[in-house]
Amino acid sequence: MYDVKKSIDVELNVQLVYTALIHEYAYEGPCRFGPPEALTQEFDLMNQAEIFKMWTQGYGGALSHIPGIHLLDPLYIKMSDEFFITEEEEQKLVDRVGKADIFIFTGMRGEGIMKEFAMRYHVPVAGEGMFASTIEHAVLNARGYESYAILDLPDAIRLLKALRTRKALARTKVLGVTRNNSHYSMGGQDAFISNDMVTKKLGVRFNYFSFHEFLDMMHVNEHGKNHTLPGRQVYNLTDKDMEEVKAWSKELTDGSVENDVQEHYIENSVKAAVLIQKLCEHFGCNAFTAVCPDGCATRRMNEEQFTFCFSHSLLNEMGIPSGCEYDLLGTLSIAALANLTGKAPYMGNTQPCIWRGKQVEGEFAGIGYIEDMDRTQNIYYSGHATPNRLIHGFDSEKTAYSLRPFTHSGWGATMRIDFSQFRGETITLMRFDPLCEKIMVAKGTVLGGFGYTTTGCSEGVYFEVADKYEYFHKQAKFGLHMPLVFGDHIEDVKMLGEVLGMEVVTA
Amino acid sequence: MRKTIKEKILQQKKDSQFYVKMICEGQSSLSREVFGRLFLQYMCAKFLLEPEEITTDNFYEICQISAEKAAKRPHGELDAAEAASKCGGATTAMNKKILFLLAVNREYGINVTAEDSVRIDTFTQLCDCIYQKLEEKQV
Repeated sequence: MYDVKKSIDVELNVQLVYTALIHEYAYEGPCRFGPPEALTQEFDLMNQAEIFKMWTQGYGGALSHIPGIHLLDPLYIKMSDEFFITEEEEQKLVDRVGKADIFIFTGMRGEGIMKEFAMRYHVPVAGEGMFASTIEHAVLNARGYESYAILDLPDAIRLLKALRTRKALARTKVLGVTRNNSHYSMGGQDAFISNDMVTKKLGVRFNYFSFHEFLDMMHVNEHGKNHTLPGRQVYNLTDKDMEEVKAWSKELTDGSVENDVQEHYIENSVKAAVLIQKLCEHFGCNAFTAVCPDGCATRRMNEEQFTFCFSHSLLNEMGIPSGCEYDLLGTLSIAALANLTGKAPYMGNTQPCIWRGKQVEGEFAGIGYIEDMDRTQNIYYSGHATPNRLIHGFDSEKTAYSLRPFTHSGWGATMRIDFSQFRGETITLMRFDPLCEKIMVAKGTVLGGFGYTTTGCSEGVYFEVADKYEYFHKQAKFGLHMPLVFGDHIEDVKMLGEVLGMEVVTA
Repeated sequence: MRKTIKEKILQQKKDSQFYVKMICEGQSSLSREVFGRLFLQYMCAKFLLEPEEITTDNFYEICQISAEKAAKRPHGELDAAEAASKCGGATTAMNKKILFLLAVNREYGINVTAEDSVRIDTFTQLCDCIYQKLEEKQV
């Protein structure tokens, strides 16, 4: 297996900072009161040390159990009732600049320290606790610095997951297998207006790669003989790669509930998944997309007898975001959703169902009448032959699946999931907009599935939304493919929008 | 009623002083085990608790039991109330621990530091720390 540096393995480095207010004298006044002994410096020294211990063990302990969160050693910064910190104390903070992705402050009257630090070193900070969080965020936000207010532990976890997702996106490099241009494909016109702007905004990089070169490299042991790169020793599959292809194909065949695909056709599709990883390792990529109709029209897929569907299913399960139809925008939406939720998204054509009586429009997509259509108008579907077994979570038990051919001729292995088993479950769908300025997030309830037993791209899920028309008109400004995962992640996506500086549109 | 409470507090103050005297005077000959028993009585007097009310070795929980008894609130509620106010994040039980240690420093003439304090999680650790400090003082 090739070494792909997956974005889901990116860790967020979190620095907890406690500012300890140590009063130098015992006195009462408008901001402190209590028995004489509780006003002494000795009391403060013990008291602050105890609170620091409790905070780092309790709060820090809870955060350290969140996957992808790496807690740096907490810092204890002493401040006297002259309300400044010495250079020595400040140096403790400075030493962590460049190491920490976020500084979370708490402690009595430490807001000024936090403000000065954030403004001087331009690092993201957050205030934890009722006074610190409200004051600090108002101060820094108004001055244009990155800061966050944290209400409680769930709020902190949501923030850290969003920050980790931002970092993961900044470490994402997409292997974009294109035929004619780098920005969009025939099937994916609803693309980013500018990929360079996406790099500027999210830090994502794109490695464009020729569709024809890719297909030539599917030929085993033909390095140097490729028509597209004559004489160049490139990355064709090898005998060793084929050992993996065969083992993986057998495992997938053995694990399926039903299999209608011949062995060599499964291997043809798995070859693509292995080659993608090989190229990702070489080019330092960790996400993938490839043209679909544009590639189809070359007739070369008919020659090679595979489609990319199976690769998308398998790669998404591995935490390598993989999107259909050279949809770079959709692929990054998959990357964001996967990192935010810890689940392998499934992306398909997402459309409202329209019907009269029992006559459903768009039956070419594999959809048809379901009984819920007599009850509500608010039915949507999402469909592509690219579902995966881990839409409930990378750590969840794999969903049962079958293998069906994409084509009538029998080639093009696809994974099929019966979504009807998930009726009643909540799903969350999201997509960036073409300007990379907004995120749409929507929630639905699974009603059933379609295409489990069929061929072609006709595989998917029916779901109920709050308002079909509202959803449709909002979605129409974002695009067709909406990656989805199980569970309600609306608030998580809202937080991601906050962290990315993007407007979040909900439906 | 108020008179009874006042008398009880005064009595327990006298009791605590009695145990301070016993420990300090017998310091050179006290084993760690005997010291532990006397120090338990001292702490009970300070915390207005009976030994049988101490059902845990966790010192923070002991402080909590004492604070809750004083406030006559059911178990678990006092810290919740304190945490809700969140002013600095200290709970009454935590403050009680520190006030107790400051009293120990004063009455036994030793110096339990903030670094020592933060390492004390159990009554056993507390006894070990105080016993060692008293031995060091003797030397």
